[in-house]
Amino acid sequence: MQPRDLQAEQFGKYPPQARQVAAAHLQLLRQLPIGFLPSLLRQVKEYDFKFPAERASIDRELTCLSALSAPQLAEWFKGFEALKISPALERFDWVNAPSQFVEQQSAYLWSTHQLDAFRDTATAYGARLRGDTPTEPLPMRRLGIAVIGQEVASYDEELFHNLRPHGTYFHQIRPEGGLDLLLGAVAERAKQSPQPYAHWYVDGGESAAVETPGVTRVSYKSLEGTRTALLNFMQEQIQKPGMGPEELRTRLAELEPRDAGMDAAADPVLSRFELKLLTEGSGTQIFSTTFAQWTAREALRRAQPLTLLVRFAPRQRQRPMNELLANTQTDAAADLIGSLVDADMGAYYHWINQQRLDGANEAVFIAWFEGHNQAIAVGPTLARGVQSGSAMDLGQLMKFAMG
Amino acid sequence: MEKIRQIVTQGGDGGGVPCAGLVDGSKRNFLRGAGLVAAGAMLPHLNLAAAQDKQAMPGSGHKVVVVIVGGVRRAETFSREGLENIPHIVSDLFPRSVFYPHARNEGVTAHFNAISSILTGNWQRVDDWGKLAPTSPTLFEQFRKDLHVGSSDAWIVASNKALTSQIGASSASGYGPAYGANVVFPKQLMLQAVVDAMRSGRSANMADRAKVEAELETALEGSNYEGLGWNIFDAAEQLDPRVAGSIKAAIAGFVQNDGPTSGDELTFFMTREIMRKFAPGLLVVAFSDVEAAHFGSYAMHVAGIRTIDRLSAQLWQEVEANPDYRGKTTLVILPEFGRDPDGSSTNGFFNHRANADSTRDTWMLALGAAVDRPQVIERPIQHVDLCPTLTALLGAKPLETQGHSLSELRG
Repeated sequence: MQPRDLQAEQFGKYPPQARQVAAAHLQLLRQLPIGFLPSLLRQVKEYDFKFPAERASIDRELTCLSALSAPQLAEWFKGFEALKISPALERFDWVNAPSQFVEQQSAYLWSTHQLDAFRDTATAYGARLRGDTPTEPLPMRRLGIAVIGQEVASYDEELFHNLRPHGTYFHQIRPEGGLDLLLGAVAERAKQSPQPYAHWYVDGGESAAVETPGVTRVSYKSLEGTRTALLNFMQEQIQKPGMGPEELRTRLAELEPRDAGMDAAADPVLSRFELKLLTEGSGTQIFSTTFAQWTAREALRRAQPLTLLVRFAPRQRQRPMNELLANTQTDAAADLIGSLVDADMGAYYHWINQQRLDGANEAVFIAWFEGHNQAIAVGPTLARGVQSGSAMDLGQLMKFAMG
Repeated sequence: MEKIRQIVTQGGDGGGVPCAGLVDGSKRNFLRGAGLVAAGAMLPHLNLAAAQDKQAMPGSGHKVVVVIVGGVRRAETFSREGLENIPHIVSDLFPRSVFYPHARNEGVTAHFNAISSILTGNWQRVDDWGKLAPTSPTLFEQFRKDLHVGSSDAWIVASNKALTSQIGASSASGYGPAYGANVVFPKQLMLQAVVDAMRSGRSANMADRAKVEAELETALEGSNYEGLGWNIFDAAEQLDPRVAGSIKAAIAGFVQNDGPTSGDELTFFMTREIMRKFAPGLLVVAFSDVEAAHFGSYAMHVAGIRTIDRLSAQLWQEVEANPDYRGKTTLVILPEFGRDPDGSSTNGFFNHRANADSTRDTWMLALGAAVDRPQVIERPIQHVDLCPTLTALLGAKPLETQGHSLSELRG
């Protein structure tokens, strides 16, 4: 089927809001090339389960494209129009299964040496779209916080190596009550700018008990049941004949939160997000540090929060093969230093991903070695590549960094 | 140590002065200071030894061992900060090597394609998961076909789960499995043993290493060793007893070793046993502990680099200690590719998909009989250059390759 043949009824299996969005832009959708449209429909189909920032992005894109004339649309999409699509893909039900279409399209483009052209075209399209869709100013400057090194008694190697050139390293921080001070500041920001999914607290272990109203919480511990269910599912699938990595990924992508035993009454947007963390992120089911890093990345990419505090927790150590063979239950022992090294890199990636978002020039980032006197702060008012021996607690550091 | 930091930093920045022959005085001084004068003095002797053994071996009499490492970035290896992760390579191997600071993978930066490109000298673009064989002849096939070499003389031992037995031979007309390498995946043996033990409920009382050894051997003696992905001696249904003995010896070494146990450790022990039992003229080893990066742990990734560093040095020690290899062998070490740069949309070191220098620009180090004198070659080379170089070293006719022979390595 070609896009020009699209009818509103064909979106009947979409969730309610997604159906409305598609129907409202039917005329536009009919004019888009098949090499592009399923990628857009993949976003639209998930509309009901998207974060506000993602919905706004889809709305902006559709509004922008709807304002273009037919010749302008043809000019915008000539690169996608030039892509050759196999007859089998044209016959594919790309309206109802856009994700599977995109996956197969990717394989087809790769096998026909068109993937580079597709990537270049898509990149150029994204840049053009961003240039044509103005963004609104943020209600407050963005803040990222990484808390690393939980339970580590001492560490002699250099921390925050990658972040130091970008900010001020503090080595006389008073650690007492540090986590509560940071969480209190997050809660205060949520009070000042109360928007859904705008303020997050991610914990690689068990969430701290302190109340943080208005803050979206995700923790590794709270998803223990889901992780176990998914690992069992993966084990079952791997045993099946002909099951390879690509097939397994497809099966995982088809899972719904209820399939993984998640609470049916829970927030459907957040549940989907959590499920995807575990089905799309490699290693997130096994290592808490990877879970925390990947959650931060995905939260920033998708929800674009104003505040994101990520606290890394100790992960299990890598089990040597002889232990795996013996299947002894000694894996409970945590790798504290390895977790700190993972988290140090995770904090760096947290900052990098934050800086991709709007308002990067005004954004502030703090990383703290939990329970210790080392921290680093990056922000527009902070000197770069220098050290400070000023004694202060985490609350004071936060105020100082925020200017 | 400070001198080598300067050298690798020059190389890492890509701005070094061409120095064929180590014309740069500081480098010459460094190498002399690092004891290379002694290493250089050994070389004439080594080449003489190789010449004496030529008649007993096919082709040139030259043997080749290639160590292909998974994806590692320059940042974690040959950079100012990365040197601490590769102390054995820096101190033991680099000073006696021809070192190429820029060895580029310009092909598909996925495991099967990267390794098959190295082995064929042509950029391969087949299925990433090894469902299809390389489309042009491999080094193994040319070595065996042209020099009439037996099946026990070409091996690949690999930890990497992305490889399959298709890596041992191509689909090219006139070549194929009849001339291919023996393919062994020790890590698959481990994984099979884990599955078997868990399925049969034998896991609870197996905390001691002797029991683990028995479990590995049980997996090995299972009804279908090809289920492990292996392909040995024309793929008979039962494992050849000579190979089985070597593998059992490797398992014993691995299990009884007090050191850490990982996929690469068993691959090393397996490789060493094959060298001792069969002394193949062409042996390729693919390590992959570094691929723990795919699971997002930077600490484990770096630990994998340190393991490879140690095992590479141990392999060189085996080459020097083993009379079948000493003095007539060239050892080459290179990563398949780098990893994605920090800040890439592919989540940095986790992956190796970005079209960036961090992913494509790696290094290569060669030492042994083909090395006239240690030097740093700052001219960029490509991974496909290795196959024609090794074909020439082995004394086989050249294949049609996209790569070009490296003049610094001569038999």
